[in-house]
Amino acid sequence: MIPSMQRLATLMQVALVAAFVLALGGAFVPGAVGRISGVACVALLISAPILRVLWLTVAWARDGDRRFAAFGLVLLAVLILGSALAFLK
Amino acid sequence: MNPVALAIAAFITAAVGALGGLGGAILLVPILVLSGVSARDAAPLGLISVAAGSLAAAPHQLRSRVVNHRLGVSTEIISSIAALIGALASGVIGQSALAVMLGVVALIAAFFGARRKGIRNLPDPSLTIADVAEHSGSLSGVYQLDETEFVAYRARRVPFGLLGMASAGLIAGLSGVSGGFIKTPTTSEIMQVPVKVAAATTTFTVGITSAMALLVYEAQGRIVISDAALVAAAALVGGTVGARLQALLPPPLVRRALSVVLVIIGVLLILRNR
Repeated sequence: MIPSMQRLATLMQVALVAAFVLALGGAFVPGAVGRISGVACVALLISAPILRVLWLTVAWARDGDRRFAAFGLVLLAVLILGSALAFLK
Repeated sequence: MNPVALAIAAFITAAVGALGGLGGAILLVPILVLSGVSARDAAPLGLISVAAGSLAAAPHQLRSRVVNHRLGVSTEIISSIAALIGALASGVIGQSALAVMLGVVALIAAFFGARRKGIRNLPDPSLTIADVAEHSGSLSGVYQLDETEFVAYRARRVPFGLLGMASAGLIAGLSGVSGGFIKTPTTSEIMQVPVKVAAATTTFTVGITSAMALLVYEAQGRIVISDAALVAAAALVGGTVGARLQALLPPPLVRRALSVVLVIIGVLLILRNR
């Protein structure tokens, strides 16, 4: 397995465990702690796929796969533009 | 909805979503609405389930090298742009007409998936476990069919595939579902990518779509944190189970299961919005 993909798999595994623990906190812990835990879980679920695209873009650029690195950058730009429009609307 | 029932529904729909590369929202949202949750509250929970299912499937799918990230990123660009246009234009098409349209699309996808027999991409005896990967610089790769067999594939009819992805994105933007139920059949049946690779790649891309949509819902203050956390916990477990099942089951069985689920979705959508 390509080392960068192995590291990405490990990172996603850590994010998965963290998201699960935070989700349990958000669902079952009462009060402010539970709410913060739930918000952190949602934030992690939103940021994980974006982080994955960013990671792939960097990995492809390092490997010299410029065309797909450019596609990754375009996708990130679309995501940023879409999010900005959503908050502005 | 009672929390135990919500957790069970999220677990099952995330597992099926990861197994078939559908994203759980297309299943979870109708279930929630049928049980009395408003469509406005159900949509964010559906997307939480999709995002959680996508994250849950990621480690296993990355280690088994079944996702074609280059294909996913390339197609997600057009899909995300279309989703953005769809979201901005939502309201132009009536929700009932849209839901019936989604139902018809699901039934057509089920028909084409179920009608094909056998495996399109045959194993190549010269390939080994070391060859399993997506290929740099192209939309091709090799995936592991079973213990000893490996299959080379290449995405075909890419312009038609992109048209399908744009439709999936547009429908996702208009309706608030992730569009995975169109993306997986498009990738598998039009682009002729093996169904397991198609499903795993879609599971990756629906995570991206749902992340963007969840940001929109957060901006609108529509996410109820306690319910979202419960759905996330159940869907993280369900997504992990679905990804492991997908690796174990033979492709024709995955395709048939996908067709059955699509028929259920199609009928539900049409009946609810006649």
